Amino acid sequence: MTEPLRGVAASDESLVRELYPVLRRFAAAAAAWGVDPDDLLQEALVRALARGPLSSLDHPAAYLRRTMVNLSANHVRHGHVKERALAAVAASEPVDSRDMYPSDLTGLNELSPRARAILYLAEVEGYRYREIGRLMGCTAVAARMAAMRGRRVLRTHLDGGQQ
Amino acid sequence: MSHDDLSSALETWVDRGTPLGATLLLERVDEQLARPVTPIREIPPHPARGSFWGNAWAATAAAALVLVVIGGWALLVRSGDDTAPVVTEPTYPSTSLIPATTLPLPATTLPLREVERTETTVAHDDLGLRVPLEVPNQTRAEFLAGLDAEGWVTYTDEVVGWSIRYPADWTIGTDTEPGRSLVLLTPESDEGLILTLALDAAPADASSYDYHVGYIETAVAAGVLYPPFDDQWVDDYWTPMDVDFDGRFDRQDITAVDLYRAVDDAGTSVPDGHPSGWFWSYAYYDPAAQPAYAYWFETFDVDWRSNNGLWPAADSVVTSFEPPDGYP
Repeated sequence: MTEPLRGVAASDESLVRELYPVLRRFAAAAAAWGVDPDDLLQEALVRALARGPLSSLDHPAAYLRRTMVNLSANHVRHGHVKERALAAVAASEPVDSRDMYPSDLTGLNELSPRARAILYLAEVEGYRYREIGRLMGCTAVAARMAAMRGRRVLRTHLDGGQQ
Repeated sequence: MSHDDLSSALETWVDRGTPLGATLLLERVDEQLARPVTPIREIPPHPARGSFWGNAWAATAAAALVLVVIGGWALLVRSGDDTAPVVTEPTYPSTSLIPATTLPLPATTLPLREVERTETTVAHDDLGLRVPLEVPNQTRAEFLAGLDAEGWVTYTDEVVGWSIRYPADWTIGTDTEPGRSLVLLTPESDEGLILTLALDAAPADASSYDYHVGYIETAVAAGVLYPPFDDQWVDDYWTPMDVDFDGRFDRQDITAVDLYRAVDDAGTSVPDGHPSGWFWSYAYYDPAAQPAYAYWFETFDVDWRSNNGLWPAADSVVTSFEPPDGYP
């Protein structure tokens, strides 16, 4: 028998249980390939709960989604800094992490977490851009633009791969 | 990449790894939340080094700090005895078309990004601002009156109350969802300009609008004013200039978007050499600024295909007007 949670209210616990499958998939979309989606979701939950109960939020799922995208963007930024540092230290032996994931997904990994998340919501979850804008905290136009730019990046990547 | 390919790749992407499960995740979250947070003042100071070099390092740093403070104080005292340097006021070019009452620009009316942009537009005057149009010589009301005489049309979006002015020989359409965006088509009908100018009714807690401008690159089918804006159409036909005005105006009180074409008496676009003379402006209200209304003008080329995504061009100018007639 599991012990009762001390830092998470019962209402939040049931909310997390209910939202977990959806949020976990979204976390996987937002996170870079090398990042465990559950880690990202956990970090977002901790940040959100540290500010207050989830049940006090108007749209907890949307809040958590945005938090995950922001956190993932931070990871990417820090990762770039780390890569540059590693490259500077070991200039003679460049670190190449591109083989860590299947080649057909390389393009997706090059997208920003936000663009990847928006594409996921549009292409897989089937949301309309107006709804995506609401979920991501931007206008529908901004969501549409992000998706379009993401597609362009993927197309460019594929074209480059064929050459 | 087709829709199916993209969906498939995304599915593969999100299905990676084994989900932890809600129970385990909650336990981890609970455990992380239960960890005591050490207040800053309880964080122990840097441990004493206890060595000669550690103490010597600290002593050297303290001595250097004292020297810097003493040196700074001496400089301050000395500078007080000097005659204040003569500050030369910037000279305005005599050929400036902007009236003196509108310059210098009130700094409070200019979002930071605009100031940065003007620094890149240094062309041929001391201000770093090119003055591509004669319009600022007039009050806005006078200018609009002149345009009205030339057959300009004002379109007001009833959903959000925005208005846009455009030449009467252009055609205009709105998105399939009214209040989202506008399409302006040139008389030639084979190319057009799409303005998606934050026509979304912004939620009350919105911190900024999004401004996007795109243009139709491919011919629009004859007889079709504007095709439906489904994603495929956008992907195929809408080549956005890579201009993203997110955050340019972190305000919710932009009141109007005007599309102008400045022509001289002979019907030639002004200024000379500018390919079109087209420009537009955003009007926004800034109660902290004097005058309270400011306008951002930008020129753009009708020959947008040659712009290679670099629009808006460098010849942008920011100016401000007196509050126009009809505004509160």
